[in-house]
Amino acid sequence: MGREALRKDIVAITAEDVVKKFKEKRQLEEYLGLVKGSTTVYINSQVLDYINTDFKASKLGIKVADVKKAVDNAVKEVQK
Amino acid sequence: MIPCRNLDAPDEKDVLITNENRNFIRNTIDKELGAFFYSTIWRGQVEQPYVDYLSECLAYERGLSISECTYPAGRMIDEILVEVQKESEVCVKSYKEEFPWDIVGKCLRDEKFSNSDMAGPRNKISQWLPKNIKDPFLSTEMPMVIMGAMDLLKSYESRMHSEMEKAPYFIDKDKMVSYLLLDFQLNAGKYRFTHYKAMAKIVPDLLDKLVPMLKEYRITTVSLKQ
Repeated sequence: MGREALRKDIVAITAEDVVKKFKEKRQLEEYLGLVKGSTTVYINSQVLDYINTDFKASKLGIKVADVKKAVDNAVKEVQK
Repeated sequence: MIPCRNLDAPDEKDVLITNENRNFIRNTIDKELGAFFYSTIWRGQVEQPYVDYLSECLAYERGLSISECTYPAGRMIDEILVEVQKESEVCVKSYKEEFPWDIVGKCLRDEKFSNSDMAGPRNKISQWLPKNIKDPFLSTEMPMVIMGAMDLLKSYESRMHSEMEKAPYFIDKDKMVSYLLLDFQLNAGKYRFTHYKAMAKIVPDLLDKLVPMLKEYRITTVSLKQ
């Protein structure tokens, strides 16, 4: 498998991790009364922004559209 | 390029496990993968694509085949994670031996602060506390986590007030620890991974000391539910 494909796999693994983390954070915020009502849209946009900006996906040569695809798949996977 | 081999290795499969190759892998992790790699610490294991990627980088750099690099790369990645763990233990030791709780008390105990005023204690924790600490881990991360805990307790207290709950108020310690660690992971922890590992050991103790202090100095009225 080439580096390009491996990079995509790495982003996919990370996206799943990060979705789980944001979901857990949101649930804790609800328990602690910091926010009300969980929203998938909120988690999606947070995760997308997080991987693009904070993890610097572009530095790894991953395009924004590919990150979006990885995040969408991760959200579906976590919901299963 | 000449491959870096340790010809004295006791086992043939270990000949590529050398300081040079380990340094190369750690540099590649830090330069290329960064937070993507260190997020594996959250999982507690390194997934295969990370090993394959770093094996490929090592093979290319040293002019070797990928297959002969896979095993040593996996071993060296494990060793790097052990190094990270050791670096975090130094941070925990500094916290246990050097963290100036007396100065935290001075930051929080000020007669000029009103009961509802968070800006005063927050400013002192964020500005004055670091000036009194030499250790870089303690001076950068501890004020941030303390402020996070203060904000969380204050929000919780406000919610209790607004919902007309009867005092005294209690917050589940496990939930608070989880929240603060998640918040740290999703902020500073992604870069300063050794600090995150240390914080996972520090936060439970920190809350046991901090929450009673905040009550004593009337910054919040919330207690921990163990």
